[in-house]
Amino acid sequence: MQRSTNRILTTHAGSLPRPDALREAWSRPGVSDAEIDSLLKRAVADIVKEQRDIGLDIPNDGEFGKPMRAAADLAAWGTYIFGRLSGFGPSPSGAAAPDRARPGQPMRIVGERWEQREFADFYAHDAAIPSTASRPACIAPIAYSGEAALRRDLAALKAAATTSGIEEAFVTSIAVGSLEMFCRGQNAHYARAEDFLEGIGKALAVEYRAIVEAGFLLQLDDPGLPDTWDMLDPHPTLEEYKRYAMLRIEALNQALTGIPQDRVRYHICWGSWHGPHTADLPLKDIVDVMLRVKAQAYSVEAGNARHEHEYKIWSSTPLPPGKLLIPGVVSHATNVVEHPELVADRLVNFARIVGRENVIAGTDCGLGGRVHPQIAAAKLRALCEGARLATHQLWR
Amino acid sequence: MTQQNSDRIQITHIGSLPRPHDLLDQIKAKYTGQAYDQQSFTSLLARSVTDSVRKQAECGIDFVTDGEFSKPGFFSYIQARLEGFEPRPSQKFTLFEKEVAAFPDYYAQYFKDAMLGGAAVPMVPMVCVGPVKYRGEALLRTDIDNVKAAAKAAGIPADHVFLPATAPSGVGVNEYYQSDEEYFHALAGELAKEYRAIAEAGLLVQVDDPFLPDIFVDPRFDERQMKRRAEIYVEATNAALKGIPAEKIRFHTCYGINEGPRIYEAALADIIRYVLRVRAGQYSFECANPRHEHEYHLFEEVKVPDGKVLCPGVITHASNIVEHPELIAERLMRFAKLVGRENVMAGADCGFSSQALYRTEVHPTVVWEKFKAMREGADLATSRLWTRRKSRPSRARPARGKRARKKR
Repeated sequence: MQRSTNRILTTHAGSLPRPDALREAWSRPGVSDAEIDSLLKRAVADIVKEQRDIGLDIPNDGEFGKPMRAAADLAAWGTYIFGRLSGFGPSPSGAAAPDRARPGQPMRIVGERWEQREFADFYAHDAAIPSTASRPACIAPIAYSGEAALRRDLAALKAAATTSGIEEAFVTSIAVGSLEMFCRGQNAHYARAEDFLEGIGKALAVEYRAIVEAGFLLQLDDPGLPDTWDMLDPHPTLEEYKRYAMLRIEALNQALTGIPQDRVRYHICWGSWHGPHTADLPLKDIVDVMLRVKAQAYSVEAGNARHEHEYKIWSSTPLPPGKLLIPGVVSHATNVVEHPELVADRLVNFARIVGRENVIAGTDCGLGGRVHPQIAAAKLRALCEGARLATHQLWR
Repeated sequence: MTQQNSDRIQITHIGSLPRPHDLLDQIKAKYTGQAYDQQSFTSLLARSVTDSVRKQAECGIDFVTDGEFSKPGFFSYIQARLEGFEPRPSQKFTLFEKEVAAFPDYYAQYFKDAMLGGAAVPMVPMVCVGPVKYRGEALLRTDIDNVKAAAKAAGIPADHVFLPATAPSGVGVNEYYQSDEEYFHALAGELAKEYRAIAEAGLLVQVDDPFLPDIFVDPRFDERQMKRRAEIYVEATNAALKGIPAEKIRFHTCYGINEGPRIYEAALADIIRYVLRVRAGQYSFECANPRHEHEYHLFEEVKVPDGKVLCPGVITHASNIVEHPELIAERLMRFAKLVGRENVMAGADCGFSSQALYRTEVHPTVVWEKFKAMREGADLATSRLWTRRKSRPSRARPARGKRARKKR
């Protein structure tokens, strides 16, 4: 994995705005594989070149192979996997995960977040929070069946990277615990949570290994680590939650068996809709669990008003030797384009604490489906310009 | 002086707050020529202001206001209070010209839903076609009486109440006076009546001037014209403020309540020399959004005159995320270290309802949460800025700039 040896390198969290033609094709019933393949190939070639031209050092395929069918779509990072796994479908009862747990029942993931209860009026009228009503349930043994789609994605990126002269690119994949969170813990097949997680892990390991074997960095998307905190009912204590989270991390590490740590980066975020986020679990409360993931780099939100101050935790939580941080220094959470001087300030704050060679500039979360395409491009330009300014300060 | 801090960071906001919907219904009727009952409007307005000021006090806001509840918009309100203008519905408002050219698609959608597109009262451009004359005495009296009564009920002294008023630059287009300079000075002479009445009632006057920064991104002007126009704005504002003690004045600049990319905005560095020439005791500007947050660095070089208070935005209208109190504290500490803890008041970037809107930029429940976060953040900053010196005798002079930094 590249690190910032003589300048601050740049990357982003994954999702980029999809071209209209691709979205339209994904939405069309009965669209042929051949049409998707050819559209995707061209779109990935374009987006990789665009990232290179903007100055991003470690690009990806924009997650274009993960279907997005609407311009505003916050869930494509998770929905894609159900097209690549067997064992999931509508729950046997036909019901979605409950919004709240019934009194006396054990803790479970529910449809309604605690923050939604606190800001009921806001969420009723203003917020585009993704609906969880149609999230599938596990109804049979889980197995990976997405080889064809995965091969298509990897081939498209490989071709694009070669053409654009890219040294290192990354491919995202959902983390084990986040898949469980995404389907709101609906499991009608496995007896225990441990078995369910093991089943998920074995299936996802196929995807993880294929990405690394194809020569790409694997980025594990795990918003579930900090964010399931706000979805558990009854609400756990922090200690209970850390035990809960650690079980998911152990299952993830199991799925990573045999994959060298230096090929893995790990991304967390706190849900990407534009809400108050007052219920977000502070990073300091979960950072020790995060650092147990067998990855070399950790990508964390730090570019928005709820998490910007958290760079300070690295003064008291040392970053283990050899590890890298990819702080978000531009954000999906506002349409305002970050000033490059602010981007530089944020990067310098991190570099002064963990060392300049251990910081790569990133985004809070994916920009695709979350901000207007032109704004996403402007933010990535601000990111690269800010990294240049920070480099100038840190290496002069 | 009330604006300077003696033992803690004080907090305020910039004026507009989400108006209650029943009040909006009546404002809409009143300003669009539909039938409405003046008496019930008057009592609903007073009640709404009382409720809002009480809530502001409950959130720990030190300097409160009426939320601009009587007004259809922060500058359009003045039309009802001045003679010499005619409405020109055919004339188009040009907002954020360079921005819109760079992000046409985004702004086409944005203007439909937000800003003027969402205003309860459609805004009509006004053109000056005769001598300007102030006629807003009765409307202003109502605002003053309402907010003073509300503050009294909430236990807030009158000198901790501010009332916003537009700068001379915020009133229509001139077709009557020989030059814009003459026009702005004529306006200054009349707006002075509003400013003075606010000050004489014992309240702080907040002069709103989002139009000053606009000059520096206006494609119509070259550099010389920009400078001259900025000077005229400042001269006119100072003329209008004549006779009012500086400590009764807050000068507010911002960039219009715009949630867009905002790449084409003036930097604080472009305008600071003009801002600091306005004879005010306090200067309010945006500093809590990703476009302007870094601008505190400016005060590493720019010296703020003695006794002047900076009121940087530490919470913003540009996002529904509630700023973390730790971030708010950090923002305040940066300023305190540069200009002295006595000279920093926590503020918002701008108002929280660009016009009288049913759907405000930030949801009302989130606005109150932001206020609470600001109180908490200011208290955190206070505990860090004052604790260490608790046992020492208080200093005769406020800590300033580099001297204050060396001490730490």
